[in-house]
Amino acid sequence: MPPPAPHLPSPPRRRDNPSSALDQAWRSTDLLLNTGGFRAIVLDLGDTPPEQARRVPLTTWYRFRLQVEKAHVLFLLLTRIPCAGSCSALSVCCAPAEADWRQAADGGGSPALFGGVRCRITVRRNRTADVQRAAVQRKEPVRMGAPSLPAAAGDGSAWTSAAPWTR
Amino acid sequence: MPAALYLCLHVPDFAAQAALGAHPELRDQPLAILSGQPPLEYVFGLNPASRQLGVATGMRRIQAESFPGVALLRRSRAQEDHAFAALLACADGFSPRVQVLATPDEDESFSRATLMLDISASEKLLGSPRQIAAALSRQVHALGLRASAAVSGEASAALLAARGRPGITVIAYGEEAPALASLPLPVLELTDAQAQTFAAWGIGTLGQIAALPLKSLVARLGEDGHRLHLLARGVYPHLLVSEADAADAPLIEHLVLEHPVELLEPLIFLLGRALEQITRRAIESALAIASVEISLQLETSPPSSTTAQHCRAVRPALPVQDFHILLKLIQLDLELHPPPSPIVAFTLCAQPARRPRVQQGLFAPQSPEAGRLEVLLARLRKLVGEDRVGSPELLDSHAPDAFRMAPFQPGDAAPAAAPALSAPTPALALRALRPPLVVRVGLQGAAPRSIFLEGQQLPVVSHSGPWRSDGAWWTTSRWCREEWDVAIDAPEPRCLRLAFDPGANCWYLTGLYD
Repeated sequence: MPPPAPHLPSPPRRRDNPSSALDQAWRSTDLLLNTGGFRAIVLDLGDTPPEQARRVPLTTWYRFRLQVEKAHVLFLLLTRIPCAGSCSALSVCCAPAEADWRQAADGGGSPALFGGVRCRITVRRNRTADVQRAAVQRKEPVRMGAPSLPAAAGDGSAWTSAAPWTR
Repeated sequence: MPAALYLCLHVPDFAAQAALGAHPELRDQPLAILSGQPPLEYVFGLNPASRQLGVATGMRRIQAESFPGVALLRRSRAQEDHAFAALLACADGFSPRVQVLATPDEDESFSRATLMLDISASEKLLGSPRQIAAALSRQVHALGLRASAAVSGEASAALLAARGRPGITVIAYGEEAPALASLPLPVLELTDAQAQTFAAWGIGTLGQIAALPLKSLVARLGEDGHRLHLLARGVYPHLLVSEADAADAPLIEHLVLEHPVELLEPLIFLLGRALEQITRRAIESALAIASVEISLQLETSPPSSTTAQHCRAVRPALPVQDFHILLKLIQLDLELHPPPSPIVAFTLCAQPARRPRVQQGLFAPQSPEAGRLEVLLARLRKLVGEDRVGSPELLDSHAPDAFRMAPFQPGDAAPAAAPALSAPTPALALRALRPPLVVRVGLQGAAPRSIFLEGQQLPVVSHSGPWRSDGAWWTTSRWCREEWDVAIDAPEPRCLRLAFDPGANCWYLTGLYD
């Protein structure tokens, strides 16, 4: 490993104005929903601070809900706090429960390798649970590693995601 | 072998009609087209309304201005060329064998365009000769041109009938001479000496020439007498030599504006009219538009450039036939890259291509229609920037965030692999922060002990690292960093990725493990 050399990385830019970035996100989402034809649209607000996410007008989420119902699209909103309120059909809380730290091979005291995270998922609300129960029984879909989603509010489940260097 | 059948298409006053394409508001007004350099401008083209008023070709400008209500326009050879190209493309849709008998710029005294089409054995495909002529006339009329068409088994008879009779004329086999008998002599385009001779003989129609004894006519007029006699009877032999196939030639529309256009909205309106013509020509050839290059002639050249031109290009992912989609793409592109000064002329050059044929699959990912997807991507590019729309594509580098945005093409996605029966462990996701956050880090030795984040000091409960990497040390864009994986407990258990830049002596929060 060569010694660290002088490095001039790209200077840390001032982050874009969050309000303008959010405005762009709303308008882009409107465009995507109005165009239609997509099977799923994901709006990732994971970087948005909770106080800004709370200030989003409820009319925005209602508008998105109407467009989603009209376009028959799966709309997935990722936020740090539940902010869509009653507009969401399914609200799920996903939180890391514990990290997997692996000891060094020499048996040293400090953990040497970050191996993954065990996540816990909890259903906050599920407006489609009654519809699912009333539906005709059908063949269970093949699950790809992730556990089956708990059906009712309050149910929980967990899974472990592994870092690429440990797989 | 089926008998030969020719269709002649004749467009009189071509210069005036081509100019009306850019000035449709003058369609019902007397119009004169001026040619030549000032102050020696002369009347080159007329429409029937101005001819009825008494305006004649060859008049000087001041003479033409003495007629009240006559609109005077400068001749535009570019407009005539593009209108003639559109006319030729229209004829190509009816016959693979088309000969150009007269082009708009071959004569400086008057303007016309004449095409000869070989429509032999086309009845089963396109209908009767009258139906073919009517369909061709309709398409030419849609181009904004008024033409006369004539069908005959003899090319010369079709040519003379098209020159002499407006509308559609169909001449039966063997009936050429009676059909041409009533036509006046100017359709033969005689020389002045020949016209004076026939006038002196008291001959004014083709039927009278055909009735003359051939030997006596040849004795007085020579070989021209033989030719004129055959023409008057409609039996002059003609060898049709077709033009080269112009199906793949670019479709071009050019328009010179009388006044500079400063706003984008009127410019888009004019571009839309030209684009509609181009799209129609492509559809007539069963083609679509693969790309459109827009060349805007500026009133003044911008300081950063020596040429007074603003060029843009629109290339949809798939060739399209809907001109509304192309126009919307052009509008969004020009809104994103507006011209720096007013526009005085523009040229649209479209490259035709075969229509795309997409085989949809039952299990193919759902995606919007290609045209709507193009417009959506253009709108998103205008909204968030050109470098933020597309599909991320990894670069061949170990540098952090080494990726670029490739064009979004959902059809190119690799098919999903078959689901494995034994499900693998889900992969850990890292939410990368772009740009990374600058953070203060408390150290214990070289390892992070605490992080100052959002005004709080958060103790590090576990850490792993440093993971050193560097690259591009042989260039000026050298990079080097030490990465740490750390875990914090407050305010909630989170795992973070920190990076230390030895060159800048600065810590960054580069991502969060989700």
